[in-house]
Amino acid sequence: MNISLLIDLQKEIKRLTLAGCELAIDDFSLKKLLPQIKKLGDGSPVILKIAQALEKLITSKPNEAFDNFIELSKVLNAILYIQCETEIKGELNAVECTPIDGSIYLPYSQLKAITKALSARSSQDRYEIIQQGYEDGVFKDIRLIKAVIKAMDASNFEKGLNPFSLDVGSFIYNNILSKYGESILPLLVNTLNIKGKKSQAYKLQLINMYGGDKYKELYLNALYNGSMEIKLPAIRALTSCISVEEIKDVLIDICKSKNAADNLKQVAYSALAKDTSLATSKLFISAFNDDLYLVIDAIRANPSPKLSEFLVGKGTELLKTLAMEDPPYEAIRKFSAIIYCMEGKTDSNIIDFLKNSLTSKSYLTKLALDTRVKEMAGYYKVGSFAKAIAYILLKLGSDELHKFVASLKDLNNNHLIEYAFEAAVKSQSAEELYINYNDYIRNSKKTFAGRQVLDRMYRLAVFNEKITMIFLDISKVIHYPYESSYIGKPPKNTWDKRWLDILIDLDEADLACRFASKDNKNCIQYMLDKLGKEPSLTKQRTIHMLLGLAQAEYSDLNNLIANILYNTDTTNIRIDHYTYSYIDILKLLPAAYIKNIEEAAAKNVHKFVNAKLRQIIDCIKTKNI
Amino acid sequence: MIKITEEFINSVAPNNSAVQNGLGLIKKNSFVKLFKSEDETIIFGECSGSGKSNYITSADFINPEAAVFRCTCPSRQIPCKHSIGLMYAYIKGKDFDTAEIPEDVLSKREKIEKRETKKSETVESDKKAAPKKVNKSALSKKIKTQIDGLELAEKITKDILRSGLGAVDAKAIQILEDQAKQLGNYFLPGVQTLLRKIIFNLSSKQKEDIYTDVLNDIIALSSLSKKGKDYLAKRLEDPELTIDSKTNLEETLGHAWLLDELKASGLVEENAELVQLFFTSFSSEERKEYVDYGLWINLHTGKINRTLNYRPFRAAKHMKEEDSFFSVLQTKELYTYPGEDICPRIRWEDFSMRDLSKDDYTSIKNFARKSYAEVIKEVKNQIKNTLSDKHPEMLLAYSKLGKIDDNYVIEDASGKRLLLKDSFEYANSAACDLLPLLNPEVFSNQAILVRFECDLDSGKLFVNPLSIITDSEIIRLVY
Repeated sequence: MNISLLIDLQKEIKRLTLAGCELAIDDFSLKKLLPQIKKLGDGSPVILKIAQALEKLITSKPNEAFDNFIELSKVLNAILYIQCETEIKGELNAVECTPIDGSIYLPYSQLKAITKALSARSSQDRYEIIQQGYEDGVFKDIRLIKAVIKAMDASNFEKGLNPFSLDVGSFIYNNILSKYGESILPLLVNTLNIKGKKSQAYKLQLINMYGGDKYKELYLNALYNGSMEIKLPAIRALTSCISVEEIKDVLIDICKSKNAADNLKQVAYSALAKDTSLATSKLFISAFNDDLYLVIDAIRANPSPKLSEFLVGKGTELLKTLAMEDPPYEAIRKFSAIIYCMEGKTDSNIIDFLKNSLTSKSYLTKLALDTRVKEMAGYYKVGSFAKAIAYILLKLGSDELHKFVASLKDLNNNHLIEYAFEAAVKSQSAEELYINYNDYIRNSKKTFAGRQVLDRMYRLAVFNEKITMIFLDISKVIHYPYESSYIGKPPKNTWDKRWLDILIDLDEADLACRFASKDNKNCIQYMLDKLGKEPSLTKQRTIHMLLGLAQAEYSDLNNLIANILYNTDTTNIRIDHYTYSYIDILKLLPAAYIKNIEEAAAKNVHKFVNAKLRQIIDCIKTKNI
Repeated sequence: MIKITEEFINSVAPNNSAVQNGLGLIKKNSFVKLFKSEDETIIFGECSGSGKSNYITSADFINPEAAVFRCTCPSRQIPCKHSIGLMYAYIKGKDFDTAEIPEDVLSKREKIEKRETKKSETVESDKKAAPKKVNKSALSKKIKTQIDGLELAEKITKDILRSGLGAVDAKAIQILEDQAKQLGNYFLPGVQTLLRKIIFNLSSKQKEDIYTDVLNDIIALSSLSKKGKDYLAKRLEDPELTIDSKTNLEETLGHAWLLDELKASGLVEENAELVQLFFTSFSSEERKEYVDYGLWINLHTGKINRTLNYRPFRAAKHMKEEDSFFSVLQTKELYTYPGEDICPRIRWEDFSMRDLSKDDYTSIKNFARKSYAEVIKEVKNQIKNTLSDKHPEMLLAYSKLGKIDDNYVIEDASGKRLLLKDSFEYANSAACDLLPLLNPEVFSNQAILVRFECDLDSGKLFVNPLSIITDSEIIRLVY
């Protein structure tokens, strides 16, 4: 049956409900519908009943209108209910599902409590309830997913009572939403509001994390039409799925915008970092004055010759200002940025500029870098411009530059001697190095230059590979300022054997042990003496000496380690401390000593330490080392 | 031997806060003494609190189907947080020393026993004695008042519809509210609720969206007034003033059925077993009450039943909140409310519980209706009646759950389909969005609990998905 006429009648009834039922009497629209409904009712008694009720209403007296109106509505509703459609045509496709495993079903009372906390605009303990819920695993109930998304949308990002806690939105993003996995992608996409603020930025980040290139159009839409907050993750998402050329214009607009937040501008500059076009170079040059800290990473990464030319030109200009007796800080700030931008660039003009600056501008030894650039660059140990330049040249790693830096040993009262020493380690023979620097080491307790060379030796000398590979992280064991990423990998086998005796004479035990050798019998006794009266696996000195003895292939090493293990209070070993790394030394023991480690494990109550001791036992059993 | 489960504790607890507070006592190690009797029919202990002396609390399972909770704390909640904490301490394996049952507990047990004996004797004597006398003059006076009330209700609906909904302004709403209040004097809470629903909808900001609903409610109120008057007039003519226990008219008018009345009308099933398939709770502004709403399947008959627990806003703090239930509920007497609706309301007093077995899931699935054509016919037959429930719930079997464009659809073995659509009435309903997060086996040959919804404006009948039942679990999609 075609019920469109009845639906039209229903609309009229609704209209009259609004206007008043008595207006139905003699109503024009109803009168117009009556003959059509009568016709429809020819073959159907039910429709005929409607037609009769309609006619009765139209011709009602005012005092009958209400009853007739109700009567018609009742009959009409009954027919509409009977006639309502259920049919859905089309091909029934399978649901594309990405199941979330291990879902649980919480009782209503618990769901209500957590939903209340999630939907609260703010309350004192909202953060704590959500955190507790997270710890109790309540978010495994998939029915909470929508409430979680909604909560992040509505979150005012207030912090918990603990001042070190995250804000609510970040907590939800980091600990809850990002754990559901890609299953929630459709929900995230459907609820994304590109005009939204921080919460929507988080959401777009998640969409990008799970959806990758699939949502390119969404990222573009967010970049072109979204809020400032959402543009940032949109740029990040787009840089991995399209060429920068496609969005260059909008990126340049953002960089030039006075309203854009610094972090957004920085991301826009970074996105343009590989673009060598003239427009981008010009933008970067202009930003060097206005957005210095925001653009320097992008300039540093940009290979454009135009920018290299700018850096040398600007650097030369600034050197003139820096030569003044009390140079303005702006010049220091900008020259710091120039140096940082030049790092890693191999253009001959830049190299020549840096070399000339080192050899001919002695005032660069007295001027310190701008603190913020220093932080950005990670020049933690670099004091002066001269040292920063030496560092950069050394890091470039060519033989020619190593030789150049090594030649600066005596320049400006040994100002660059530590870099010269490192360059010499990398470019000179073991004997040549010994001849050039043994006096400095011998006088390391008397002269500043000597101390600097000794310090650098601490950074460069390590145990042999056989020893270091037993540790998961050797830097936690030799935590004197050894930094494997400092300037380059420490050189191997470049040390003269005579260094060992000098270091023993100087009583630099923690360094001497790294040079220990079975050919030098003195060193074994020296290290045994250095173990002291109460060696313990929780002491750094003990570990160093044991490693030295292992390197020197000391014959009674296993018993020595076993004894020290027996006398060590292993309950002092904590997971958050270096001592946790120290116990890897037990891997040196053969299988016969497993029971000693088992005894220690049995005594230790800390489950992580206990587990590590068991891993060491497994390692010994399989003899992986 | 006491068998306490977490679900049991939650089911007897008055609300979730009491449970959380009880658990908090264990975390804070507030229980200073924990005991159990040698026969393990009672656990008791002492708990430190804000008072000078410790609270002495106990959970007595001498009658496992009617556990008794006692505590010396001043709380009015039963069980209080101390008794709940005590039971949690027991199931969490805390050390309970064996001790003699305290004297006062023994004497209280004795009193209960005496009371029970007296009660059963009274029941027996009641059976033999003539039925309770009804004060007919008072009842006929009440019925006459109800008739007057229905006339008032009819007048109100006439006034609304004559002037039209468009003319209902703030002043008119105020008058209607006063009239609704007045209806409270006529022993017609059902009629009062229906009028309040109309007023509530008329006060809402999105008026246009609710005009169809308001019109339907006005039609219902008008019908109820007419039918009610006819029924009450006939009842007055009856010398026994017999109450109608065949239809839901009395309940719609607002009669609160007593269990004895239901029993006298033969609406009791013995030794029933029920499994809850869905639970939610919402606040009803028109009733001014919280409504705890559960849907259960009767494991013996396969019938889907409703439980409705009303908690007036004013007294909600002191009333027990119902909650989700994950075991099989066993009751010796299951009471069903009168009426011929697809999902009748049920109630029980005492219950015990057991775990769901694989066979239970299988039998639930087997009870699911197979033919959508039959189901649709049945539903339409119900919803076409003015005073009937417009949202019957049913358990349907489906051979496929799939998608047509952006819509989720279920299909029965004969290829007949029904559209799945979330309900706006449940605040936490996002069932369709959750479907892609379920395992692939859920999408064929399972059963789904649905709530029917008919949109008169579009002329479409569809279903709201509530829970999916597989061979091993009940996947609750909405709360």
